[in-house]
Amino acid sequence: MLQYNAIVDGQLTIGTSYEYEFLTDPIYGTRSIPNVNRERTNNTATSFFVNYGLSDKFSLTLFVPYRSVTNEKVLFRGQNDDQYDGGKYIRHASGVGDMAFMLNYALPRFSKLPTILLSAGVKLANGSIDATDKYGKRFSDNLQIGSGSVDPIVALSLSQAYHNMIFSAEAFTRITMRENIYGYKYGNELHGILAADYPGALFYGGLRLSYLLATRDHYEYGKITRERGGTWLYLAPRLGIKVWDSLDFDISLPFAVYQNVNESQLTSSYQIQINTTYHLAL
Amino acid sequence: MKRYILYMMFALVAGVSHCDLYVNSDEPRDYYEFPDFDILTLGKNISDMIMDPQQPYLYLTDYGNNAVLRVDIDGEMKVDRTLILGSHPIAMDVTPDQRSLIVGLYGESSLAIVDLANFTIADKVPVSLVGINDFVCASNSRLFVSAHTEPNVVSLTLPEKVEQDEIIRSGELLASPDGNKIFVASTNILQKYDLSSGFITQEAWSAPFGFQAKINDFVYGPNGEHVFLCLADQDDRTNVRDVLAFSTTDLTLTGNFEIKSAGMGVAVSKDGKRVFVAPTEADAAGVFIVEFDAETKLEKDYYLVAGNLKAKCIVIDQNDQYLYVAVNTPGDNDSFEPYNNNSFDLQRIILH
Repeated sequence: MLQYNAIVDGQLTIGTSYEYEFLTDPIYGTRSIPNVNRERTNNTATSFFVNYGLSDKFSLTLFVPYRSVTNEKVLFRGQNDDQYDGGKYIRHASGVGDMAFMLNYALPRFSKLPTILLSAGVKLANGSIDATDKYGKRFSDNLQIGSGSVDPIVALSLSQAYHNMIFSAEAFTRITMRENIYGYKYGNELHGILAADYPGALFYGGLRLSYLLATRDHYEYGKITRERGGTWLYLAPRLGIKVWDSLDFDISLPFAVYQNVNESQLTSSYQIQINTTYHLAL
Repeated sequence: MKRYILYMMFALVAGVSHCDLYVNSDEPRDYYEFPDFDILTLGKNISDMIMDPQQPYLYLTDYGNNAVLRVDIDGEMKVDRTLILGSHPIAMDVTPDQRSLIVGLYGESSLAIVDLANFTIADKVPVSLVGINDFVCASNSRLFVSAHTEPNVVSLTLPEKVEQDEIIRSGELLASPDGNKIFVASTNILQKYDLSSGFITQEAWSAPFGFQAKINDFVYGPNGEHVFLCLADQDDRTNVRDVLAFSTTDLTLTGNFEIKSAGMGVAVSKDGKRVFVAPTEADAAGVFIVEFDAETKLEKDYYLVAGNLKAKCIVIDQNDQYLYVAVNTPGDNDSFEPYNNNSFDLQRIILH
């Protein structure tokens, strides 16, 4: 969100991002398996974020996602009491997801040392966790747009210019503090990112390697959830353009290079991310 | 210095990822595997399946296309031959001498006799019954034929083609290997008849089922001690949630294999120790063939299949290595296109 960890006093940064993911390939661990129910999930998140530089050291960020989750599958006979003979079954949830507030602090910069940014904040529990199917039954937590838990977020990032490139690294974690009202507790997440970017005057871009470790979820206040959590590694080429001096537009295509999931899970071989960022001096 | 900071960053991610916050403290047990499905796409309305006793062939009745398919199961499965027989083949049996496959035709009141050596129609035997549902070969020359529309079965003597009314009730039929006993699963009771004296006498009967049952499958256990019965209650699908085993001696109940829905079919290993049950309903994760220990009657293993299963359509191969089931995969039966609602394929399952 903060390009190359820059905090500028009095600068307001407004951005939007669109992320799309189509999960349709089931794997067991790392091995591809048959998709018995022809299941697939469309995940989209259109997010709005605002960052304001309180000083040249501190900034505040607000992140508001609008999520849409659609899961489709073909049921077998008897798999759902409300639809005994089976057939197509769709679950859909959409709305404002869990928002996040972050306070960012740029460490004092010494020459030739990387820019270091520390961030801490909270992910709120405002997203709905009550979406129901067409029979009025609440469906799985992993298809809801909210988590139902207020959780801390901590991030550390650093970046360093080297010749005409900027190299950056980031670690980001979300620790789930408690179960939601239905007794479901998401696993913790740890993200790691390594990136190399070319900051051109008109066009910019680069390559990003993203690592995600997610632990298992739990349901009914402590029972282990099957088919949740795992390890993912994505490689994402990114290309951007400075539409104006203050307006950036970029597109990124993360594609999975390694996926190791707990039991069987639907996966996606690629994602699409489109971002716009507008900088405004107040 | 820069390098050290980067190293620290790596160490931080690597170290943190191994701390308790990011390690799963416990792992759930895996009850089943996800093998790649071995499926022969057929798209047929299969009404019965039977394994050739000697050759690596599986025979399927293609009800909608009036044919019997011969599937070569040696290596990759493939339809080896297709034989057009007559209207709506419904049931099959192999003669005790293992030379002929006999096919009951629901749509034209006759039985077709197929020579297994060259897979050609050797003869066709007319029967007076309308709506044949099952038959059994008590010997190479004597068959009993049942129809839904008649209260009792008829017997056929071959090759004379002499038909005779019998006192045996209609239903799904089995014969003991020596041909001296006939077992009938009718809509409300199981009965056993003795043929050894030359006259047919009723020898035993089970307790009544207590409801009008649909017989999904009726199988003679390989060790001769039990018959296995898959019942369904069409008025209350929650009524039957198991497959029953009965003693072949006195038809007392000897086993109850719970599968949470009516059994579609059952297959038993050659030594009689493993019982494989095809359920009517899927569970949350899919449709599973459930293996039971014949002695303890407890679930022992689970085999994921590709779709909904079909009555009578589960068989085990001669070496107890593979199960073959007819599966209707989802996604091909949710429209008004013709013939799309009974589109079954053949799945081969490797036994553990």
